[in-house]
Amino acid sequence: MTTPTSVDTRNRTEPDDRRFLEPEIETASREQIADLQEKRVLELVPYVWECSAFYRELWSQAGVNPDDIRSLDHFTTKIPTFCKDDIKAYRDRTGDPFGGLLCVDISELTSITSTSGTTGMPELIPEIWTVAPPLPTHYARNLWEIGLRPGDKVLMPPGSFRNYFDDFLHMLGLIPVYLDCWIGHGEEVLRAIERYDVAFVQLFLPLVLEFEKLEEHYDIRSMLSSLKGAAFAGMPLGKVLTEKVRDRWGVDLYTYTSAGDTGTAWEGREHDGYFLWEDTVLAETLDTVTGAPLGDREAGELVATDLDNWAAPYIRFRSGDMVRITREPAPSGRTHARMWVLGRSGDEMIVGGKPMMVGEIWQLLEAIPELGDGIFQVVRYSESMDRLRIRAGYPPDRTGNLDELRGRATNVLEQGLGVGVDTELSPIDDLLATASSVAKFSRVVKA
Amino acid sequence: MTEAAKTLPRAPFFGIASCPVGATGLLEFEIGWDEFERDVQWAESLLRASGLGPGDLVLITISQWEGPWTTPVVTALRRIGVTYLTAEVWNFDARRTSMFLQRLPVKAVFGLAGDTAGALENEDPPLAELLRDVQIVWARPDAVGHLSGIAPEVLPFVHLGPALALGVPGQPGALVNAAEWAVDTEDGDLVVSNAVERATRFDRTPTGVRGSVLSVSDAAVVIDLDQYAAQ
Repeated sequence: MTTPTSVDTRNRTEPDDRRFLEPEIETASREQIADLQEKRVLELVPYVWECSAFYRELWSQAGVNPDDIRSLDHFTTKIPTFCKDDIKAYRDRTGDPFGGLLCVDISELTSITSTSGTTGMPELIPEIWTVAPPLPTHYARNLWEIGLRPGDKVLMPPGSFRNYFDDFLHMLGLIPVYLDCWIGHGEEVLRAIERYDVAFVQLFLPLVLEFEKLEEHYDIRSMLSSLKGAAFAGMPLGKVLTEKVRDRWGVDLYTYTSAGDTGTAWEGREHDGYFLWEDTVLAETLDTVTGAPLGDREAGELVATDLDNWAAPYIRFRSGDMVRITREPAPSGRTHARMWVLGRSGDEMIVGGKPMMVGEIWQLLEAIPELGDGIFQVVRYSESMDRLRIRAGYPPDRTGNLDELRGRATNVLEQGLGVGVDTELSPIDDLLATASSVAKFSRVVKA
Repeated sequence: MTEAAKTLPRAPFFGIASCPVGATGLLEFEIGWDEFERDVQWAESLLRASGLGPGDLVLITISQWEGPWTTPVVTALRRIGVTYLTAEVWNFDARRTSMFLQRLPVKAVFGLAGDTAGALENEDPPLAELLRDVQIVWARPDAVGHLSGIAPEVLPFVHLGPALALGVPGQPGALVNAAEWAVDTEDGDLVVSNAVERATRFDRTPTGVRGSVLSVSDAAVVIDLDQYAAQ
């Protein structure tokens, strides 16, 4: 292999050892953030009224005229919210593939990606960009916070449905390592991280489970020691696996989540909440029943407005994510809102007349050693269920008597939840093979 | 965030990749910026020759690890003014490919995999209906069997070791950039060597792809690939 060519320093003005990529905006005062958001919102409202048939119709039906919106307060109290079903209904009625959201001619788009589609058919995401696609571009401050710096090597993530990341990595001066990381390549990935001194990798559940299987053959901690950090997205990894990655393997694991389908929100170094970059998204939490705005750290539905998307912005989009948000500055000095995800609004279920969240089931199951990987699904066989039906994944190489395990798991769940439980066991790999997304493993499935 | 990134030094080279060599080997290689730019220019001329122009929609089904072969194509599509759409190569994501083909007037599909084609064959709407108005399909070898008679123009998309081989409408075989690569055969297998300096030197590297060289000109090495012979 040849020696790399010399580094092009371009217009370098900031030292690499600064904590934040964009200190001015990342630590802006609350007033500065609010001013910026108001300015963007007051530009957006007349723009989409002019260009988007969907918003014109939605707002007209609500009796809203763009001239009525003269402040952030007017915006959050007068502009109606909407959800994915509204886009779908508009599309079904009009035949417009973009659901009336597209604000430019299709020929002006650079790329069109789509949502994960875990809760229905994917929705189109039109994109206009020049340097790197919007989604990875939003990762920039977060990767910098992890400690990545120009010249570091990054393993390319496998999934491509939200666009390609190499332009973005190059934008940050990072070197992509192109290796097939998909299911079945865990050993090659492990070796490549060690060989190339890879500084960052995107983990996903099957890859973590493959590493776990390789523990008896390799010193995983040593092989992963070059990592400055690793990311994990989708459903949470679970307490047991998270501890294994962080404590036993010594990897600084950063989880991230969707910012109401307007981008992503990542943990900072303190791992205390996901940062919502408020110069790109206006985030609100609303009561799911009354629609009333909620206060700091109160649990409600995330309602998001795209502030940096001129192709097809989501404006007061009801995400279905149940969250808590605080605008208290973080200990690091970052001032943007932080969010904690409680689950999907659809994850709430009634079993035997009792309300229940997926997290409660998870906590009980992962305390059972053989089920500690937390790979399970709730089978929702009707809206109101008399008994809880669970599919749990077990590792065949670490599991003895299946009948005994089934009985023990059922007993733990029944004791902990106070409802009748039917437990079905399945090898972990078989259960993961039912996933319909690169990043997400659905915890609640239909029968 | 792109403004902040402008102050950072550029990555020293495009990236690190690997390709299979022969039956079991794996060859690691670096890709430099100069050769990446030449690869983009070659892809652009080939895509323009295929009839793609500003405003066209092209659906791409690739994995990100394929970047050394596919990023020149994606970059070229952007330079041409094509709007590209992204879907995965795996069968579980085939409905995304179906969704794009149902909702948008896609002119070409790039990188169609056997997994995707197989998964859509008997779905509603079936693959034949989805591809009815698509003018060009650059298909991987394992997809070709699914496409016979249902897509108007099925062209090769092949990783030829570190090189890329692509078909062009109206021409037999697949084209390799002759300015960059020399292609030969050994016992029916295609081998590749550098024609000019690249970050990594290749000398008759076995690609594991069976075929023969049809012609060589300044512009292209035209190869015949056994896997596309039935087309």
